[in-house]
Formats: sequence, C-alpha cells, structure tokens
Amino acid sequence: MTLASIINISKLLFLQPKYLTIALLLSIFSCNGKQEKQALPPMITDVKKQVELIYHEALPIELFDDYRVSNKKFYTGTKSLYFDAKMEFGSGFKFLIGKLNNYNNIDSLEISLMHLAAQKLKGVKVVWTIDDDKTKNIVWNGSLVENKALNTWEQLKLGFKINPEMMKANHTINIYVWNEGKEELWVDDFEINMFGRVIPSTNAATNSAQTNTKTNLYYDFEQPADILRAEKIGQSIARSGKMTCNFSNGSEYGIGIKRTFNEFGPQKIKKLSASIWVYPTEKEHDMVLTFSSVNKKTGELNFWHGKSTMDGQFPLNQWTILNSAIDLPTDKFNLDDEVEVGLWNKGKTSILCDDLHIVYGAASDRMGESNELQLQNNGNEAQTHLPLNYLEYDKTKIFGLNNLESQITFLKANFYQPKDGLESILVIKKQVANMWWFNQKNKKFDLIWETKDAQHFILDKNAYLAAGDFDGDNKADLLQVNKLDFSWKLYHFEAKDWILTTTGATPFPKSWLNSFNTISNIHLFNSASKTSFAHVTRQQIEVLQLDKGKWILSSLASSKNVAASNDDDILLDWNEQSYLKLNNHWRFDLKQVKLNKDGIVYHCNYEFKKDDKASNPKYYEYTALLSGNFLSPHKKQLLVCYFNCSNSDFNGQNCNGIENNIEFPNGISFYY
Amino acid sequence: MTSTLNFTSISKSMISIGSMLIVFLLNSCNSKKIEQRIINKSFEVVNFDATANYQTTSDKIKTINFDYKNAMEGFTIPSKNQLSEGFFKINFELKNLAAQPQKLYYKVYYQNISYKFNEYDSLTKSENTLAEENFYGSWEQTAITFKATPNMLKNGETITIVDSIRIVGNPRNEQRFYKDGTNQRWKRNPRVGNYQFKLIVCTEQDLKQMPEEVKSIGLKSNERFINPFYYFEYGAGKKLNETIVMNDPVLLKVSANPDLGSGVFINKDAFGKEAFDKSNFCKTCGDNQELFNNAPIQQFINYVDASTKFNNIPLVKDIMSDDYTQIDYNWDKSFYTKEELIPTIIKTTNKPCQTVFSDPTTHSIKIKNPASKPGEWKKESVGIITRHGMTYGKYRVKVKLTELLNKSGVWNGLTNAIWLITQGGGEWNFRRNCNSNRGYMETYWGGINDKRVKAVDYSEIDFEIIKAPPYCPSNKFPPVFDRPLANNKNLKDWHTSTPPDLIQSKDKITVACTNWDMACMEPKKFSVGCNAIDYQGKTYHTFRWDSVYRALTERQEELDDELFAGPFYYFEIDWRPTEIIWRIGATPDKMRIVGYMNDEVTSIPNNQMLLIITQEYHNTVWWPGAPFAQDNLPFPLKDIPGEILELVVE
Repeated sequence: MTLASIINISKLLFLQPKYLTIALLLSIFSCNGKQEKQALPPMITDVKKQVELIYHEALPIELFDDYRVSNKKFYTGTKSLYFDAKMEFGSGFKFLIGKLNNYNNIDSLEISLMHLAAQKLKGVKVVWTIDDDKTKNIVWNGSLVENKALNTWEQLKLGFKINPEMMKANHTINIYVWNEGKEELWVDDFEINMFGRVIPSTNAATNSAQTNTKTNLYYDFEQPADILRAEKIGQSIARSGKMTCNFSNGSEYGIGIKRTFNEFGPQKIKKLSASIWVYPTEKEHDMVLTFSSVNKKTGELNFWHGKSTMDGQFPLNQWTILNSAIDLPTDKFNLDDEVEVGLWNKGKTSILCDDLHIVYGAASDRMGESNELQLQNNGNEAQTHLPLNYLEYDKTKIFGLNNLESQITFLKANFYQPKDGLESILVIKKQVANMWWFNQKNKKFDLIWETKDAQHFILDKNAYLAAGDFDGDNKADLLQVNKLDFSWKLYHFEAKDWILTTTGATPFPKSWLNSFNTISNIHLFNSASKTSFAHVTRQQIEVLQLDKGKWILSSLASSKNVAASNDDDILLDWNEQSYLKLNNHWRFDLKQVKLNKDGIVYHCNYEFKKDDKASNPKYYEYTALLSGNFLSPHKKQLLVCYFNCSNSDFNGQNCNGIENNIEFPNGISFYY
Repeated sequence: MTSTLNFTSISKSMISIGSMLIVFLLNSCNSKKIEQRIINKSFEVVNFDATANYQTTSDKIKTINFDYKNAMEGFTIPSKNQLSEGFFKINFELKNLAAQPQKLYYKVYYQNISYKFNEYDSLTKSENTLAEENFYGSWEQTAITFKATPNMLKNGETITIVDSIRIVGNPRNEQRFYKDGTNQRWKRNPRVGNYQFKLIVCTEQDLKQMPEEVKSIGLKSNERFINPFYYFEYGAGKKLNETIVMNDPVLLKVSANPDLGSGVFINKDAFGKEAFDKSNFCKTCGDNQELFNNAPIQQFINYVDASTKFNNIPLVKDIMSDDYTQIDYNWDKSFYTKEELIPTIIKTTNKPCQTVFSDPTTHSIKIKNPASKPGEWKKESVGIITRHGMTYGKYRVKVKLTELLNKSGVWNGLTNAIWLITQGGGEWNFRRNCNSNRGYMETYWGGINDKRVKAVDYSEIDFEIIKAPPYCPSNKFPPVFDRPLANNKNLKDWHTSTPPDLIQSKDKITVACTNWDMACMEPKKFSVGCNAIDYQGKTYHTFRWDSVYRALTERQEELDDELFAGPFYYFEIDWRPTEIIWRIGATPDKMRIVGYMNDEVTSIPNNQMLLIITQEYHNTVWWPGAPFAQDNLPFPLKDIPGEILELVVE
C-alpha cells in the first residue's frame, strides 16, 4: 500500500495571494490507497523524503541602498542586485559553518536566484566555496549562468552535494555571483537552502533509529533470544507463559541481558531501570537484580549496582515485583562499553524469576521540533483549540466498512445531481466500488452506483483515478490514466452509470504520473474554473492542466505563500476563506488557516471533540482527511479515516494490513 | 499521656498526699455538685470549684471554645464574651482546725493534661525534664505567689474563699515571648484539651518550705522551671504535712472551633506591596480592622521556589470532566516540542479574595484554583491558613476538596494538603533543642551541606494527598516506566503501558503523612529508607531518603473517590508531645489511622504552628515516581473548587 502518495494527492494547494481566486474544485482522497488498484509503483523511500531543510537564507536585497542594487529592474520587491562591467563580484553569503544548527548533518546545498540580462550571458557564474580555518580554499564550485531569453526574468536553481567532512564548524562557506565576463545583468531573489538527510528532532522515525533503538525491553523468557546464560531458563511456575529463570536448585547466577551503550544513541543514557518478578519459595532469600558495566578496553568495572530481595516485602510463594533504577555515572563508561542487567541469586535459595523489563535511559527530552514553517500568528486566537464535532451516521452500513480494509480509496466530486451542491463519495475497495450520495429528504446516504465487475475501469488495477473538473465543462470528471501506456480518459456520471466523454489524444505526462509516487506534494486545485494538478516545492509550483485535450505544464514563478506550508502538509478547503492544514509528519497537527494579503495566516488549532462513539483520529498511526459538502451544500464536513497498521515498522507509507486494537478501534467518522 | 481523669484516680491521688489526710468524696445523688472534703490536722478544705460561674451542671467535663473575637493578642479562657467577668470564679471553703488562730495560704494552678509530658520520670525517679514544657499556669501575675486568707482564722472558723482565675498565653510570663516590654501572650497560646485545676492550701510553715520557683511559676531553678504538678504530686511538695492539694474534679475541655464564616483576613505582606489589587475585597474578605481583629483565617500564599519552574504543555483542558484519558496524556506528553512549551512556575494569586470566600451562611470557606486560558497560562495554588498559633492538638477538618483523579485515572495536577506549619518568628518559636551531635538542619530549603544547628523554628506536619507512588515497600520503588518515543507511526512507541505494579493503583491517590523533623538525629530509632513502626496492631512504614533529609514520611494509597468524591471527608492530625497520628474518615467517629510516628523515630515539634489547607500545584520533580508529570498536564480550563466546612482542634 502506498499511503503517503495517496495522501499527498489529496492535498489542495493554495497559491500566493495574487492567485487566490482559486477555490477547491475536487480532490481525490484515499483512506488507504492501494498499489494494486491504482497500479502506482511502490513508494520510493527516496532521499528527498528524508531530507529536511536545515538552513535557509535569502539575501536582503531590499535592505541594500547603495551601488550594489538597482531599482530599475526587479523580480520581486523594488530592488535587485545590479552587475555591470565594473562589478565583478556581487553580494552573497558568507558565514562560519559552525553557526548553523545541525551543520554536520548538512549534505546538500541549493542555490536559487532570478536573473535578467539584455544579452546572452556567457561569463557569469554562481560560485560556492568552502575555506578552512586558515582561509585555505578546500572546495570551489562555479556554475555558469545561462539565459534562454533576453530581457526576461529566469530562474536558476542549482543543487550540489556537499561532502559532510567539509562541514566543519571553523570552515567558512561563501556563495556569490562572479561576473567574470563583466556583463550587465540583474539578479533578484537570491536564496540558499541547505539540506540534511537526517534531522532527528523532526522525524520521529529517525529519532527512533538514531537514539532509541528499543529502549524498552521485555523478556518473558519464553524465547531465549538475546539472553545470556539462557540455560537457566526452564519450564516451571511462571508468571507469564511457561518459562522462568529457575533457581530452584539454589544456583547462584542467572540470566543476563547485555547491550552496548551506543545502541541507544550517540548520547550516553543517564538512567537504567529494570524490574523482575520474583517468586521465593524459601525464606532468607537474597535475589539481586544487578546493573553492571565493564570497560571494553581495560576490563575494569565501570559500575555495579544491585538491589536485593532482602529489602522490601516478598511473601513466599507469590509473585512480587522488584523494581530498581540507577542514575548512570556517565563519566565512568564509554559509549562502546557494554552494560549488563542480570540476576544473581546471592542467597542461593530456591527462587523463581520471570518477566524482566528493562528501560534504557530516562524519559526522553522532547524530541520534536515543529516542522511548521513560520506561520503568521493571529494573536491569541491562534492558541485556541476549536472542536470538530462528531457527526453521528451509520457509516458502517453506508460504506460497508464493517471490516475496514487496508486498501480503500475515496474520491469525491459533485458527480450525482450537480445542482444540489452535494458531493458524492466514490468508495473503491479491492473487489467492489460504489458511490454514495446524501439524500437530504430521508437524511440517509443512498447507494447511487456499485460494481463488483473486476473488468470495470474503476476496478482496473492498472488505472490511476482522479476526480475533478479537468476539462472545465462545469461537470465533474473521473480521470482514468493507464499506468502502463499513459493513455487517459474522462468519464461523467450520468443517470446511473459512467459515460466516457473524452479520450486523450496525447498521453498523460509520464513524469507526472511517476511524481505521484515519488514527490510528496502533488495537489489538486482549481484554477480558471478547472481542476489542475500542482507540484509544490518551497520554491515553485508547477501546474499540469488540461487544455484543449493536451496536458500542459506551466510554472508559477513565485510561491512565497505556499512556502508557509510544509512539503507534506495536506490542505483542505474548509469554510469560506479558510482552509484546514494538516501536518501529520511527526504528529497530527490540524490548523485552520486563512489567507490574506500577508499570505497564510494561522487562525486556530482544531481538535476532534471527544465522543463516546468514536476514537480520536489524531492518535492513529494513519489518519486521512477528506473535506466536502457531503451532507450539506452550505457547510463542509470532514470525513476522517483512521487506523493502525499491523506493520511493526510502519513508517507512514507502506502498510500491509490493519491492526485491530480494542483500545483503538479503526474507523471512519464525519466531523463538522 | 492522660486524657481524662476519673473520680477514682482523683481520690487515690488525694489519699497519697499525706498519711494524715482524710479524704471525703461525696457524690450526692440528690445534688449535682460533687462534694470534696480534705482534712489534715490543721485545717480542712471543702468543695474546690475553679469554674463556679461557668456551666453549673454536674458534668465531669465542662467545655469551652476559644473565643476568636479580638484574640490576636492571644486567647483567654474565658473571654469576656463568654463570661462577663472575663474570669472563672474560684470557690472553696477553708476551716481552721488548729487550736491557734492562723492564716492559711492558697494558690490555684492549672495544667493542660491532654497534651503534656508525664511529670515523673520513672527512670531517673525525678521530674521529667520535659515536664517544664507542659502548659500550666496560675495567677497571671506570677509575682503573686500564695494568697493568704484575709484574716486569721480562729479554731473552727470556716471561710469561703472566692477568687478568680483565667487561662492565658505565656502563663509563666517568660521573657522569651516578650517584645519591647510587652508580654505577647499569643506566642504561647493556651493549648486545646483538658485542663485540670489544682488548689494548694498550706500553712505558713509549709509555705516557707516551698521553693520560690514553685510559688512563682515564672522563676527558674538551674535554668529550668519546676512544674508544680510534679512538685505537689511526686516531689517534695507531696511530703508537706500542712499542705492540702485538692484537684477540681471537674475538668475544663478547651477546643478551637473557629467560625469559618466570620471572614478571611488579607495580610498585605503576603502580596508584597501596598498597591495590590483590592477589587475583590468584600465584607468577609479584606484587610479592615474588623477582619484583622476577628477573622480566624487568612488567605494563604504558597511560597514559590524558583526551582519549581517548569515548561508546561501549551494546553488548557478540563481534566476532571473525565474526557481526558491516559491516551490524551501520553499523546500530549510526546507530541509537543520544546519550543511550544510554556515556561512557568506555580502561581499564586495577586488578587486577594478572588479565589477564597468566607460564607457566613454556611460557615464555611470556599476556595478555587482559577481557570486558565491560552495566553494567560497559570497553575495557581490556593489555600487558607489559620491566624492563631497553637502547640499540639487534634486538628480535624471537614472538607470537600477537589477530586484529584478523573474517571480515567488521570491526575489533575493538584495536591490537596492539610498541614501544620511553624508560626515562624525565630527564637521565641524555636523547637526544643536537638541534642544529637549534629542538631537540626538549619533551613528547610537548604541542601545536603546545610549547617546543623541546635535549634530552629521550622516545623511542619503534613497531609499531602497526591498522585504518587508509595516509597515503601522498597521493592516497588521506583516504578519502572517505559520510555516513550515521539513516533506517531507506531502507537506503542508513544502510548506506553502502565507498569503492572501500578495498574491496581489507577483509582488511588497517595496520602502522604510527613513530619519535618529537620533531620534531627536524636530519636533513638532515627533511620533512613523504609522502616516499620507498629501502632495499635498495625504496621506503618516510615521513609527517609537519607540522613540529611529533613522529613520523615509515610505513604498510603487510598481511593480518590472515597476521600474526595463525596460531599465531605474528615482529615485529622493528632499532634501530641510524643507522637503524631494521622487519621481520615467519613465521620469523626469512624476515623482510621493512615499514619503514625512517635518520638522514637522522629523529632516531634513543640513549637507553635498554624494550620493550612490548600489545593496546590507541585512540581513533580520533587515527587519521584509520579506517574503523571506536572509539566505534561494541561492548564485548568475551569475553576477547581474546594470547600472547608469545619475546623475543630481539640
């Protein structure tokens, strides 16, 4: 299953203010997109998904007020950098690498600028260098600036890999325009971005890998794996299962668990806790839960700690817990030293032990950093948490979701009875597809259409589907793209079935179809009364639009306001002039945003109001939203799909099956 | 400790005074008055009644409450509101049996017998050195020793002596409690409990044999006071042949039962400056003279240590509405960033009377921790404190304090506390010297390197009811909590499970009973760690972190619903000279012990203390093993009310 790709497809895009005439047209939504159904290639766990922006800087050209700038030509604002024959080197960026947070994670540099010249450029380069602490140049890279058109602002975007070994705190990086040919040109919007593969604090999964490889360990002794002296384990009276660490013969040394400190991250853990359940059968027992560490190089003891059953209350022939914890002497061990938690039957009495629980490290510091880009804050209002109220409907019956499948796709559009303003919900499961429309008279969802025909185009495994008014005829289209040959068709829903209205004469752009799987930020949005695809990065927006039977690619040059959204945010149309923005990167974070002349303004947080009939979707490993006028043409509702994945290593993208958890029942709910 | 004195014991004590004495104890069925007659060869004494003008019934115990009106200078028993004269009338008859006319001399002593040390030390067979701490007195002017009969009594002549007495603070007129020449009797207020009045009548010859320190209780011998009750019952006074000692067979039971509806005084010193917000002042809450004179209660402002600073999650929730679950807690704990947290400290109000109300109709005090809202983040403690210091007593409060756990077992972050704290003041309120080699830790807030001193004025006895695990038995502490991980793609990473040994405590809170003994190591069983102490067939476990830790605590888990979900519940600190007993119960006659300590394990304070009742926020850093961390609990969305319905000290 390729959840992330489908989620991203569901995003809506908001353009910068001057393009704010857009409104939601239609969006495609997948609760649980499926590879088979839509034949999307498996999600590539690509570098880009793991890369995070570590540093961004824009040259403050508007603040310059001297010979370096011109106010005659500019791309944004009122000024640009000006070069002529006398100006060989322009303003740029120069700083000590050590000033950057996480600089040692940086592995790529992106340079972006707009340039304009009246002549064909030949001798202009964008240069970036790294000098060591003695100002000796150790990296030099120059890229030629070329213009395709004269007197036209063009964007130059360059990307470079950086050898992380060059990124030392006392090294200096220098980025500038070298007008080697001493030509006349203007440069604007000169920006740099530095990316790193890993930002532990913003990526929980990465955190897990980096700093918390299984810090909570349980041993019920049913399996001997990872246990030292496992021969001490045998079948006996057990607290759980059948196996215990059995000292009934009065033996002295029991099992042990050995780990290396560096398994738990690059920082030394500061605490070690453990518990063991003890079943003494003789008095005067002295079972010791031990923590110890030996210096790997010298063999000397770093520390030893033991807690005995001699203290506390341990009735005979009962299971009683022995808890122990120590603050680790971090100055006394090295990261490559091992630490052992063990059992020592010092009293040599008959005693049983079971269910060892070890926790490495203290409660973690707060790990996340808000991966929100700086949103403007609408004062105190922004602090408020408005409730999303649960809407009671018999969803189970409606959508046939008695057993939520891990492969299900939702599309929504005004397919049925366009004049009523209600959007129908097209539900596509593995072997059945159906469409539902809310009947306002009887206040129930009516089944409008259904197929179980595996040959139906909607159930075609090689089809990619999207909903929207792609051709601008004011009717909802169902777009089908064949993932094998990239042919495409548009369908309308008329009367009781789907009618083919358009067959594409030219293929759907192959790269865009692939993009759906490899680029996180593909949205559907309305522009000029039709639905388009948009690919959003923080620097630009590319738009794919159907025009006279052809898919036309265009670029929206600036995306300042879009940049207030993260790459993997989901944007949904909501109430008038406001939108829901979901960031589910490392936590569920649903905000209402508004658009004004300043861009995207953070208005408030949304919280799901607790209801006995539904769990809070934000707690689920997978949550997807679809907004629409499902129940009322006047007020939108939010359809929320939430479930937990059975994969123990679920990363938000690939899920092989849904986990049934009594405490967290999976479900689909309406909120408003 | 003797709490009652029955008729039989009185008669025995009378007989033992001298072989020449003949004692008649007549209990007339027809008369309500008990008649006493004690005769020696020189005179007889009949019918000693120290409270003749008060509650003229046949009860063996008369009762009287502290009168809180205009009592800031100290309690007097009785007050002029209780008896117009302002004194108890003493009444007894003397008859001269000697052949020669003689003057007789008399003196009346009183002593609190509920909260006292035994006067006699059976080991040393001498006066118990601690008996001088007992609250006893006589005439207010200690320079007046024994009073003589007005005239020489002829043989067979009978005279009725009418005199007066009252119980006041600092009855020995100790300079320790003086300031600028004024006897600040409030610094050693009368104790609650039963008082016994003792009449001494003697001839001039015997009078000459008595030490001046007995005749005048304000004098010391070898830097010590002599307790007259020891002197006449066990000491040399017992052997005086021409001295009659007669106890009033009726005891006077003194209690404190302040009217909680009579107002809350605001001490401006607690708010730091003169220009504080007085907008919530009203008739029953403020700083006017009427309230200053008469209000028994003052709004309490918690001391906020800078170390209580913490970074709280930026959430405002009504935890007690029961829709805030462990899941919510776990999520909020994991999924807020450092940058989003709200740096704060525990707050106290700067608007006195806004969160404390004295209700004259219900005679109760209502308190509330105020609601918070985004941008005005606060976790604000609230409470009240009494204004009249006392030493010892059974402090019982009837309260309806907030529930601490919601139905999901999530803690609301509050600690309900009923506690005694030193009245402060420095030397005049010093505890008894700590006679171990090391003494007390000098301050209650200092660290392990704090200086040790002989005496301190700090004392504290607590009920603190909080969501925290017991420390004992030691095998269960500390609980092992999984380390959560902020990974929203794996439920189990952030929604960690509760340790199995704590699951059964989900609906329980911990009642922590603590005595701040300032780590005085004098008690012979002073100890650290968990140690058992038995009392009335039950074992309690004391706990002290280390030998410099200033408090000894006992913790017991109780059902939150039982203590706080009902209309009210009783909490009682029974502070006695040699032991402290903590009790709780649904009614005063169904109290059960939840904590017990004695002077073998901890230094029992003997200075003057005040009672505080609070709903306060604590930084859980100081409560190791707490399953909920204060900084991970939301700010309160709604006011959190509490009510103090009754306070009795007896």
